[in-house]
Amino acid sequence: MTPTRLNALTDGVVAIVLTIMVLEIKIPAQPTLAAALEVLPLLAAYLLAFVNVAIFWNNHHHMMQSAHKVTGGVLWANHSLLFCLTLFPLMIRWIDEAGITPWPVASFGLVLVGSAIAYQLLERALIAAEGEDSVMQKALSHHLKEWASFAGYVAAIPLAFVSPYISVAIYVAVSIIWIIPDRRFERQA
Amino acid sequence: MNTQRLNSFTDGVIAIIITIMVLSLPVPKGPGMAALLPLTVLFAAYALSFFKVGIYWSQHHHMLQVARKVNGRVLLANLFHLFWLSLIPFLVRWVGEAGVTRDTVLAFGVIMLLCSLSFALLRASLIAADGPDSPVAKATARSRKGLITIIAYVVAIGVVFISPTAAIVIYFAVAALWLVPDRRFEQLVS
Repeated sequence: MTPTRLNALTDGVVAIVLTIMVLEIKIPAQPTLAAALEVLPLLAAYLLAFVNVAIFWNNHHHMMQSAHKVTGGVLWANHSLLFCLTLFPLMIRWIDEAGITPWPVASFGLVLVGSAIAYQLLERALIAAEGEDSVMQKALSHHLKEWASFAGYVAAIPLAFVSPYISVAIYVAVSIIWIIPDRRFERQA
Repeated sequence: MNTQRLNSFTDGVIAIIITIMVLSLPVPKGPGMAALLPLTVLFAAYALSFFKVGIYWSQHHHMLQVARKVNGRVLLANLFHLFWLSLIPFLVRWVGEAGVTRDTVLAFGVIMLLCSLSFALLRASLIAADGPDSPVAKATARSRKGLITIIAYVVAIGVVFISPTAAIVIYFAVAALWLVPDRRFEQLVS
């Protein structure tokens, strides 16, 4: 079975996830600069969530270039990833209402952890479908960046209770290392 | 006629259905853990609904991989199936406002039953379009899971009046039944 429809569904869901997040941002209460400045932290949170969802989509895009086969397991792993990604708009809404406080910021990290685990499951399922010696298997043989990000997310969750700003700094740092998308697939192609 | 546009239309509609459900989840009323707890039930309802829609999409995906022909009847059956799926976000919103009550659990069962009946109708119309020797007919000839699902939902609808919790257990059990998607289609494709 080819991945055409899996890609179409993923693109649809991710496009909506990315777009509905902006609905969570409240309009400045007054038509003044001061009121606009109050919305700034939330705009930054929105940007961070947007970039993180985009990173997952970019990597998914690159990885699926080498996929020829999908199985039931691949579909499930992909659904799990989409499930986690749909929770980002909820996190933005929560941060909007509660501010940069420990629980929302820690939950943001939890959603990232969930997404990263689902993405790993997707990688494994794709390798299983494509077989050993496939481009997929070769491209995915090094996991350094993924483990580094995963460690970052896991550390950020408890640190949010020390100071949520430390966690935000970690999220930003991890996002920066992914600005260059997964080169592994470009190298293989 | 080939299946391409039916598939892309379905993917588009289901992508929207499965994503807008999250808009029904309210934000915790405060920054602490205590504010999070009352939302656990609704969150579970969201997760269940998300994966139910995902299961229907996976089944559609697998079945349409082997389908060769579509006609007006198939399109109509597909639209009918999408209609029932599109009511799932509406139910999540109701559960969000009214909670897990007898009537919301009942409505969930009715919608689930209609989703599975309309999927069976889609299968029948694909077979009618492509003949009794078509790959769809062959792959689904000894399909029991579809029938078990329909029976389970009918039972759940009756059980709601005795215990809504028991009905919810049935909903989760049916989802677990579909964890392994229909392998017959995969075998047929390879």
